[in-house]
Amino acid sequence: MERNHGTRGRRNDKDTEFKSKNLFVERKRRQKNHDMLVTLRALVPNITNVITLLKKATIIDDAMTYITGLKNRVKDLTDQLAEIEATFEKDEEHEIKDDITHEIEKCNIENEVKVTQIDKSDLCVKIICQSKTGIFRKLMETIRDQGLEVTDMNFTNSKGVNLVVFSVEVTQAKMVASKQVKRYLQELIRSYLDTN
Amino acid sequence: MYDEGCYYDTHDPNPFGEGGDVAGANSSGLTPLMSAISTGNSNNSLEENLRLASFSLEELSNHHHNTEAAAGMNFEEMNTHLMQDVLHDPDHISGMDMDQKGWSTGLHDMQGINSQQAQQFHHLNHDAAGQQIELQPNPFNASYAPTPTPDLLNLLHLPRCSVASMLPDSNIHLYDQSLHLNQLPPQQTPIFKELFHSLPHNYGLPCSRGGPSFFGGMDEREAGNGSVYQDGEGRQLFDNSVLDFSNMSGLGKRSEGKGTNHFATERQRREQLNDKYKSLRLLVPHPSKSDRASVVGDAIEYIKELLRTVEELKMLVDKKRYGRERKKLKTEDDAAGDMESSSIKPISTLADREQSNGAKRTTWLQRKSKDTEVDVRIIDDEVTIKLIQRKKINCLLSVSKILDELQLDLLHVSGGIIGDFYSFLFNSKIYENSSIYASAIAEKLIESVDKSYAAFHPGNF
Repeated sequence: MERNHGTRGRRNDKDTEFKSKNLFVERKRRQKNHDMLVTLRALVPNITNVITLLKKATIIDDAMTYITGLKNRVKDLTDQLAEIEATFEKDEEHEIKDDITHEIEKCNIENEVKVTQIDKSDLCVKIICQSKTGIFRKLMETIRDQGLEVTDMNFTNSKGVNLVVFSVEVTQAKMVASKQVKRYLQELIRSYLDTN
Repeated sequence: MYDEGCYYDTHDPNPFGEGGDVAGANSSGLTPLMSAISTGNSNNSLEENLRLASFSLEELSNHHHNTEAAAGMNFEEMNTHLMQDVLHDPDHISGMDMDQKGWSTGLHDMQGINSQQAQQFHHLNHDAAGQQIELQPNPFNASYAPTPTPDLLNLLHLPRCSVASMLPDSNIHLYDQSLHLNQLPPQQTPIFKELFHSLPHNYGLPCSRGGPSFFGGMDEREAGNGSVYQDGEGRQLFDNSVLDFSNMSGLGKRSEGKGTNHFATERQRREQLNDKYKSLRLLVPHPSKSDRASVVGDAIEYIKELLRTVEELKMLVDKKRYGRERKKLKTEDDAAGDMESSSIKPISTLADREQSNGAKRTTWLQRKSKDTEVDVRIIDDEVTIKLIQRKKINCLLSVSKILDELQLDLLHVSGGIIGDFYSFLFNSKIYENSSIYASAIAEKLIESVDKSYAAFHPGNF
């Protein structure tokens, strides 16, 4: 805890005034503490005793009971939610998400992969493909398997099409040719999207 | 059931279930004050009003103490009042039991004694008058006759030290003759040992901290016995001496200076207060600095976050519960997304429903761990996640895994390496019938990112 030991309240031989090197800072600090406590008091609705309403100890005590109460409430609600989930899961028909995606207007796009070498060990990749859930994850896995590390990433999904532009850095020592990467990615997309 | 909207309602039972009577007393005391203070409904006005009211209240309560002391009113009342104050604080932390008993008996007695005034109170409650702040302390002032809480306080009747300190002359009258401080008969010790050990731990073990200083004052008074209370023995002797709550200690001066030396009590009070700050700090999830302002600031933010989470969960539960029923009733039409225009009345009050008609779910929370910061915002069914990773690992993979697990459709991802950090922004859409909520997302993300970091680095190096 902060306490300004020894900077105030010492009576000098010469003066009888209190001297403080940082009187204003102290005052500001105390004012800030007080304001925080009042804000806390305003936020906490439970009141144990009106007489001691504005005592620091009461404010803190009330805040503690309030917080534990709120935590319990959150826990109750979470449990309720889980319970509802559990009981109704059997009833729920797992709607195929693809149904929803079909409703969206789609552009007809040809899948495309483009890889360029920017730097000695940096590549820039651009992919256009149809969107499907889980494809991003697949993409990340492939990148990791190739020993590449993403330096920049931009992924957008619109009208059922994914546009991914990212740059990768080759971390592992071996030289990775851009063509090789391109091939891998193309393969990935083809296989993933084809297995519908 | 916990109902935040109704705190200022006179007849609302205390939501934490502390006991109906206590709540009754509380709310009767509460409403006049709160109705006067909270004329506006915004937090700001409440704060301002509180600030203004704080001056008047503090004055009044100080005045209350001072008049009792100065006017030489009933020392018994004063003493037990102080004792209650002092004893109730630590109880508050350690458990509600003692506190409840104490307060309910205390309040019951007050109510019993001032039943008439209590009835007046109830009348006053129903008029919304501003003068009630003024009226309120007076009944306490005039007829404050607290009954000592059972057991502990009765035992402690013997050393009425805190009062004694104020009027040293009356020392002799209040003390049992044989307990005069100058003579410490050993036969008295067992009682005080019991007393001492029966006090709640939080009350502090003065002997271990202030042992020597307790007897500083006594040195002056006893010629020749000073050596008995030296430092090394102070600890041991304390057990054998009067359990002195008051101020016979001091800075070596006997009742000079301020007139009353509150060194020991004040010190205990400070220590208790510090302990409270520490306990408050333990409650919040990510306490950073340990200074008072930060602790309170963290608590404030956490309370706000908890309130948002409660709102969110309430809405989800309702949506889930009654969304299902609607689905069952409807045949083919699937209008499950259209909750707002539901014709079925769920359990949550009609007022709540009307209020949330058209309102979208909004939540926001932040979670931090040692190397990761996650910021999750949900508006309606879109989730925006900001992720900052302090160490360089490939967190994109783990994040994408989690997002798939939680059935969040990625709409947009952008980010990259910035200096030493990975920083990403994810926009995704919640799958229609999922009941995921913000804190779950945040926690899972942090957990998995930290896990993959831990797995990655030891393996790599």
